Amino acid sequence: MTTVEDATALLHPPVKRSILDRPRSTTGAWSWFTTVDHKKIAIMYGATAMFFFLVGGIEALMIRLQLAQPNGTILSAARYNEFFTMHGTTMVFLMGMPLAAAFGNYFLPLMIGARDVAFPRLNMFGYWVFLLGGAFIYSSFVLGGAPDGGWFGYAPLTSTPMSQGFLPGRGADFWAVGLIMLGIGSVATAVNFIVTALNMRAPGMTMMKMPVFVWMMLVVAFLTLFAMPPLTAALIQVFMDRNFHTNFFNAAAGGDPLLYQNLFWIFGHPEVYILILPGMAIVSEILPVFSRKPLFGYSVVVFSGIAIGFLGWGVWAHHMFATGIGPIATSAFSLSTMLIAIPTGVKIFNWLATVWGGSVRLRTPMLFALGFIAQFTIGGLSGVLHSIVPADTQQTDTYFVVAHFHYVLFGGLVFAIFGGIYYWYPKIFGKLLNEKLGKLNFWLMVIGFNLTFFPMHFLGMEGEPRRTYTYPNGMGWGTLNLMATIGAFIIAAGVAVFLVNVIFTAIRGERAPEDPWDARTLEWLTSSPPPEYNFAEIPVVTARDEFWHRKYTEDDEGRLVKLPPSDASRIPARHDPSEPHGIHMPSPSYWPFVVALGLPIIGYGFVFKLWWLLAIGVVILLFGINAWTSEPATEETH
Amino acid sequence: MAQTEISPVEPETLVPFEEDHARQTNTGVSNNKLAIWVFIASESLFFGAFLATYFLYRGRDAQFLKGPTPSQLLNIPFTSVTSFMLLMSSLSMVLALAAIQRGDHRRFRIWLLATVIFGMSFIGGQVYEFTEFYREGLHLSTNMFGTTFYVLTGLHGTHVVVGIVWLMSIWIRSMQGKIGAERHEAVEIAGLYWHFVDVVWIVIFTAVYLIPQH
Amino acid sequence: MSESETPGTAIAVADDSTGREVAVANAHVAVGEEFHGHPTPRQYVLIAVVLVVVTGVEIAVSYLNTGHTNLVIVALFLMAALKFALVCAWYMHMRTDQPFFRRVFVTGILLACFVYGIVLLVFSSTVLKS
Repeated sequence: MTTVEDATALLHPPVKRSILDRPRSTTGAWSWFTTVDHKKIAIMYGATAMFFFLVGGIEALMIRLQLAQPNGTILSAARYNEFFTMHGTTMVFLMGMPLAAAFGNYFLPLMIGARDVAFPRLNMFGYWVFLLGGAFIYSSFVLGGAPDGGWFGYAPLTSTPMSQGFLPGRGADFWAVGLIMLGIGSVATAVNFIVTALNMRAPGMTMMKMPVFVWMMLVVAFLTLFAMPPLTAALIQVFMDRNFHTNFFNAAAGGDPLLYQNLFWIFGHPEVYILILPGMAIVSEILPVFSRKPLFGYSVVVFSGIAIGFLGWGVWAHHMFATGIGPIATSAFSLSTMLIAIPTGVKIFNWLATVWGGSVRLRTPMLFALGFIAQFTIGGLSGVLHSIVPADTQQTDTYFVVAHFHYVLFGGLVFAIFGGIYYWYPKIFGKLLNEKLGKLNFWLMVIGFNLTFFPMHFLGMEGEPRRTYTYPNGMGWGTLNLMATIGAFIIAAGVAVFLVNVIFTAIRGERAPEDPWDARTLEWLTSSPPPEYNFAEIPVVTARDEFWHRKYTEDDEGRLVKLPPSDASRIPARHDPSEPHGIHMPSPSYWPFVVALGLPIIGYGFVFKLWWLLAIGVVILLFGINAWTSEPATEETH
Repeated sequence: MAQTEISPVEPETLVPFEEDHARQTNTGVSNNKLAIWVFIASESLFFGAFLATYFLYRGRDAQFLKGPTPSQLLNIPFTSVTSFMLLMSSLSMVLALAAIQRGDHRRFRIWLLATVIFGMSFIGGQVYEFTEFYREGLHLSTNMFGTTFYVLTGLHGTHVVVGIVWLMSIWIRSMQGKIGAERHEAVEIAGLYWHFVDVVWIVIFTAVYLIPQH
Repeated sequence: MSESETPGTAIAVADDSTGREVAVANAHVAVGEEFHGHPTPRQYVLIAVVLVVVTGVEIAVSYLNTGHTNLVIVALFLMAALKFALVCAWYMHMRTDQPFFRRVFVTGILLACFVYGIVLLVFSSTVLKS
């Protein structure tokens, strides 16, 4: 701090610099490490999650190679267990949830006309916990063996102590501790999204004027908030049983493994809604734009989303129909499960009604969104079949279930994610992904996906069990399994085309216009990519689909009339260099990283019972929290 | 951060994020306060799981006839005293808040310190209780009571310790002159966490100690 | 924590039809300003006395050796609930603060009671009978 500015020094007292000067830069490679900008954080979430998608995909390909023929020898039983466990764990916790966080992070603030989320540093902390947590779990591969008890980790398989247990190695410890860690990050982000959506909307944006995307992310945040604690509790109990000889799930002492299943699925069922609602959110934004019609039945769609959020808490034991909980319990949960199909179905009809009669443009985002509707519906239908207890008693633990959840999670969520990527790519990166490659990507994935998973309905009906590393000759399952494996590699080809598209676009893609899709929501009212502060002037909202209403009105016969461009609809230039006076954005910071770093250190301390390491982790955590809370969100840089 | 007498504005509160909408939120409640309430709601699900586990396994040791039983171990008079300490800590906490809201920094620090001391006495009582039980043969692995009791009350105790650290750091910062009257909300937020931890103990005390053993 | 903090209680009316609150009072709290609606220290102490008395009654009831254990259990839980409510309402200012806090907290509590109540039910002999 120079002493030249005496007057300003009086008004802005000199900031005492601590050991590490607070980073200031918002450009350059290093700025990505210390950023608190929701857009940068979103890109990091997205890129890391796509990386894990590829890793999980490779795990899937290995599984399919092993199962392509009877008596496969590609993977041993032990290795197979690791692969299917990590495939599930990766796709759920390291791909699905983080990609939702990516889209939510980028677009929640923009869609409500805000400059950032409520707690920018907490946002960054959430990302680091995700990255470090994922690395922590994967480090197990070289530290004694990866988790191998399934992504759901049932006790007593996972809860018996290592010395006398059913599973070799510390995989289950890595799994339990790693998921607790990831849960902390998820809850932090959930709190952030809730406060942002409730408190930081632009003037005039009432709750019922928020885009459906924002509503769904809000429901997801509440679900996350309430679903992670039961999981954390169950994982602590597993860890304690394994390492401290407690008896939570030790039947010999009076414990009950079924308690684990209850606690896990109290988390697990809301979790599947946490996974799918962001997909529904994305699709609800894409369909209206590419049909040039507003979403049909906005209020109904919003309330259905909320209803799913509530009802999702009453269905969990439908994962336990074959565990002997008795006819009273199974009937009750069967009914509640059937009930939840109603709001889900309502949404599907609303999406169809949105497209019906619209001026439909079948561009790549729209193709993925339509694929979502078709495939998610199929998955939903097999789900309704599961809700019938006698039927489920046969279907459970067979490939029928595998077919069901891949239809909703891959055919549904992943397709929606790809749709979202193609839709919002120009906004985030300023370039449109290549349309021809996009369509190729789509068709390869549709064909590959259905070839892989549709046969599994039949395999399940014929009794092929899940989670089993091989099957014998003579069961008649070989042909369909081979088909599924071929399908998996076609999916891989589709994903490869996507990667080629990304690289091609980076090198030779053309600049996109600012509003390439003639879209409806506020994120399109700023440049592509948006400046750090999002909007030079926070827009005043008077209607749902505010941006659309600034571009168009309707004549007396209800036909669309394009309005002359005005200040209200003008999108500012891409590289607006000057930061408008008076906007103070939150400053970059190291501390979210430092605090996050404490967590895996504590984690290794717990897993390897190195209490000194645990202590170091706690010290780092506390040191970081102290420094974080001592610095202001926005540093004066005068 | 440097605190100068000349400055009319405390650096900590200078230009908070979103200055052009200074301190104006859609719901009228501050972001920080909304966040802590949302977080506390989440914690209810956490403690609920361990309470439910405790209830589920209650009484199962009778058929296994293993290890010391609750009626043999639990010392109601002793725990009543420690529970009283925790209740009083809530009172002192809210009095501390009232003090800083009036700008009475001296009283604020006194009541805050009292809260910390009450909290530490509670923890001291817990530690004593745990060591006593351990001496009398109740380990984590002995029976269901050992498992559920130690983990439930241990996790609660951990939350209390976190609260004590939090309050101590506020106290230290107050001594350093960093907690002005306009920072009272930071105290309120710590207080909300502290009261929640107390409220959880109200339930645990009744459920574990007072409900008659069959 | 200083991040995104709203110093002082912005006493405001949240006008939902425009979605934007109209800040009525300023943010900075002058030293000595009364907190509108908040209980007084005397009331806090009064609540503490009530809490102690109820706890005393609870302990006494727990020592009762009647045959009606179910009644005793219900009574104990009611008293615990009362103490819970008193601390929330008065010490956590749920009574005088914005309703949103009450709603989100109660939602959490009710959800916990609901799901964990069902868990206990699922394990109860009445439901397990087949």
